[in-house]
Amino acid sequence: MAKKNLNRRDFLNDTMRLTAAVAIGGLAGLTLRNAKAEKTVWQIDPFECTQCGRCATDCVLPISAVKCVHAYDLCGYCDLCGGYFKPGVIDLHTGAENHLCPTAAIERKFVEEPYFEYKIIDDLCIGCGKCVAGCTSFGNGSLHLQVRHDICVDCNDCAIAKVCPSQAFHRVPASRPYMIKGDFVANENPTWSNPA
Amino acid sequence: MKHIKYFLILLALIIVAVIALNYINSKPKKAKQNPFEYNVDEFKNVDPALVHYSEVRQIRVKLEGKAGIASYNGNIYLAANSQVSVIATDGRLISRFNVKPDTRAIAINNEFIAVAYGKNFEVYKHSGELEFIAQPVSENSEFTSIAFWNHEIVVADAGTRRLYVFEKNEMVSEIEGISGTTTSHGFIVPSARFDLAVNAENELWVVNPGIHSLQQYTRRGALSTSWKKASLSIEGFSGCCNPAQIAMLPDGNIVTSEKNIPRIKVYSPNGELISVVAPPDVFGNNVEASEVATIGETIVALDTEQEVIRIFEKKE
Amino acid sequence: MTTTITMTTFISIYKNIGGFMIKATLLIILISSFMSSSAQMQRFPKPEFETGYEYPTVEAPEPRSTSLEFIDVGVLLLVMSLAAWFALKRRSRKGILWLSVFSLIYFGFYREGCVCSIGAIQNVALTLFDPSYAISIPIILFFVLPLLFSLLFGRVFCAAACPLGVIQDLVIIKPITIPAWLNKSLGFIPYIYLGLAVLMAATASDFIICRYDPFIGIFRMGAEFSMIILGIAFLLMGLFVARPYCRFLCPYGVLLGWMSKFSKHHISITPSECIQCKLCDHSCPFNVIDEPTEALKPEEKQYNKRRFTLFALLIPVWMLVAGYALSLAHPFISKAHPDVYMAELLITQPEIKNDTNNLDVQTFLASGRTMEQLVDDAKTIRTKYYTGSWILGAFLGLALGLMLMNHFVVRRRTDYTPNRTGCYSCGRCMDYCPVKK
Repeated sequence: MAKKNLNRRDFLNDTMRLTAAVAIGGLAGLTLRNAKAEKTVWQIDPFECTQCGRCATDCVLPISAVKCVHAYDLCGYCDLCGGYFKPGVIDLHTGAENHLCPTAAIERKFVEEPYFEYKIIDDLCIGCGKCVAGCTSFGNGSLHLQVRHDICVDCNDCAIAKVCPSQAFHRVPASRPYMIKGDFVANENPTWSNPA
Repeated sequence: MKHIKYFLILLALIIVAVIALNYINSKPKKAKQNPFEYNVDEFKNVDPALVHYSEVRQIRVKLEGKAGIASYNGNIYLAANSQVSVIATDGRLISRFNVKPDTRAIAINNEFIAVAYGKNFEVYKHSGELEFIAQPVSENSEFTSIAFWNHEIVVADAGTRRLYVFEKNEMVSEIEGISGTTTSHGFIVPSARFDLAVNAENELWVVNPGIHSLQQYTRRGALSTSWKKASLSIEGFSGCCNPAQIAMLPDGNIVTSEKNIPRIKVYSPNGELISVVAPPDVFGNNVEASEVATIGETIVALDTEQEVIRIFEKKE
Repeated sequence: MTTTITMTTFISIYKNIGGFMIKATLLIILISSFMSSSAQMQRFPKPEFETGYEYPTVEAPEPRSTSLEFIDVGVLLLVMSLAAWFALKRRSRKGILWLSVFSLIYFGFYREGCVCSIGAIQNVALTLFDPSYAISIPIILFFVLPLLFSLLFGRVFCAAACPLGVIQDLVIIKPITIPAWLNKSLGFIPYIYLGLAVLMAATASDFIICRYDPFIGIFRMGAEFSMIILGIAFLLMGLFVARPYCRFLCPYGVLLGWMSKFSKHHISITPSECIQCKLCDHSCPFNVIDEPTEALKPEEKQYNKRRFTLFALLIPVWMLVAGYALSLAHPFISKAHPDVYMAELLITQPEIKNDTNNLDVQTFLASGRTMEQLVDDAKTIRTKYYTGSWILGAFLGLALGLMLMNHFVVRRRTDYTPNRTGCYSCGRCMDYCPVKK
């Protein structure tokens, strides 16, 4: 290796090394055009979500990182809540047979006549979106699904995004990691193009 | 050694098979059903015997933003796209004049046409000449409905959850809807749907959408009668803000129009379901309620999602 | 201030009498003004509670902060520097081993294998072809730094930093020698995998590297059942075939191999003179130690030279043939994109529209996107795939051609040396070398 005069192979190697270095540099330079120092995270646009149920079944985690959030700002605090009660209930009471939620993850609390508060119990919610379907069908749509970033492992290729039939999953900047209804304006919140 | 070889070949086959199967199964053709499906279709089915009306005509309109509809003298008055258009029931445009943008509701009497915007309203002569502009009441106003009530004008404000009665352009009184009894509550308006209508007898009916109630108020703001029907089935109203729209038939019956599972029905003044005008399947995938108006027995509905005015007539 | 624009409005009437339809169309010119109100009203005054009820706050925990991602980059840098130091200066297999255990815990089990350098290929490919895809700087660094290190010090990233590599390295029990022909043939798979992964990422179709990452389920202690099977199969195979994923699949390994081939420094088996003891030859579980070669006879040299020239000239032929062959297959490959797949499904099996249980089809039908739009989009993507499959074919033809050509390059070697392309710098050989000073 320590030969003073360059032989042919060393010269070839040096040339190739230089070429490779330039190639890496060039590639890095090109990617830097679109680079953001800030990382991006996955989030669901609640206005695009169709409550297909795949958030509950397709997350790589044993219990999905997608959970229902309640945008209290939008809630009507209804007595007859379409997201809480099973269709066709007769008495509006909190008995198990009345729950729409398959895991009974919604807590109903009387506030004052005629208002009731509905709260999601995070530990029980599996992100199936059934209550979301009920709330959007009958109510204001204050219940909706969001990726919870304390749980999400931020896969490079989100397994739910892959199967989301309405392409409601987007990459959003980590500084604005939620799309909670009433809190964001659809066209103001930047969402970045995501694979597929 | 030989065993290892077969073992490795087996593993290689497993790896190839898993990857291939995973690829094939991820395609939409093989997709699984939703195990958590909430099927609302059963609420869309309506007993055909209840449907006493049929859709006889559609008038296509192009709408930009919010719109309001009313009827007078057998014609449809559409407030949309910064204009008031007078349209005959056969679709002919009779006349039109320009107003301001963001029209929300419209009302007509013998002399005037009142057009409500988000925070105020204007009154025009039938010729299209501006008569006066009302004073705004509150910054939070979100006017959703307007009607002539004797010599006064009453507007429903979803933003402040009150009715305001105007004498000309000045607000003279407000109705909070609190009657003093425990069974009643002020207006509960969870979203911008808060409709009112005045019937042929000059009685004011207001929707209290949060509790699925229709209420009649006196000029002094006292509740004179009310009924409520909360149910997910066809007999009642569901969700947070239904009925979203109402109109009055000449015989005093009330036409109601609902959102979410959109449907139009007719109730008697004491809350008895008389007939279904339009079951949900008329509206396809709509979620918004159509605004309704009546021309005699005919019911006119403005479908803002499909941009069409639907005309329903009673079946023979 | 409002701007006034002229709007053409059509009012047409459908009159349905006794089964036939009279249609009249009426043209109205409406003067429409610019709308200032937002289309989607979200906010609305909240109910007023008399009991002093306070609105609960909406649960919205923050994601892992970006600065921690930069710390990951720092850890990667540190691990690779230490690995280079252990491999080249300290010549300590033990050091590399413990470093790899640390990486397995940190990048594997703690960071749960995401984002990794292998997967970063796809992010880089996508961002090069789709400027609207934002890539974060840590991902770029995860992609670039191992390549740079490889160019300087050989594949130290594989030895000690890559969690996929080290998990396999730690389970090697009884490595067997694979027949040379099989080794070479299987060694071509990574080129195909790399090419497909770049093609699918560049067309925003799929991230196949992530999708078929066999060990992610093990790192996360849970995944889809089939992926767990895949991971276990690879690990079981790895008991006998050392690092099967690295050698026969890893697409990033292709790039690292190219870099390492021309690396400035590289691990050496012996610190000074080789004593030809052959101990190292058996130490390498990956069979990447080149044995000394005999001096060739002049006629053999002549033969090799002619063959070399022939195969060098044949390279463009391989490229054209493979390019053409893959361009023929582009309709099939392009089905990896969901739009292409959906368009084709709806065209070939229109009856699927009536299948109310098919969520994807039903969601598409309800989305308001028309069939024409879908087909147009699918056509655009397919055109990209046509070009892409020509490039992919040419790339594979080139790789194959170079492989065949290099077969006739016989370097004169007197000592046992690691093959720079394939060597992972794990340091086993130097541990076995009896020469210590």
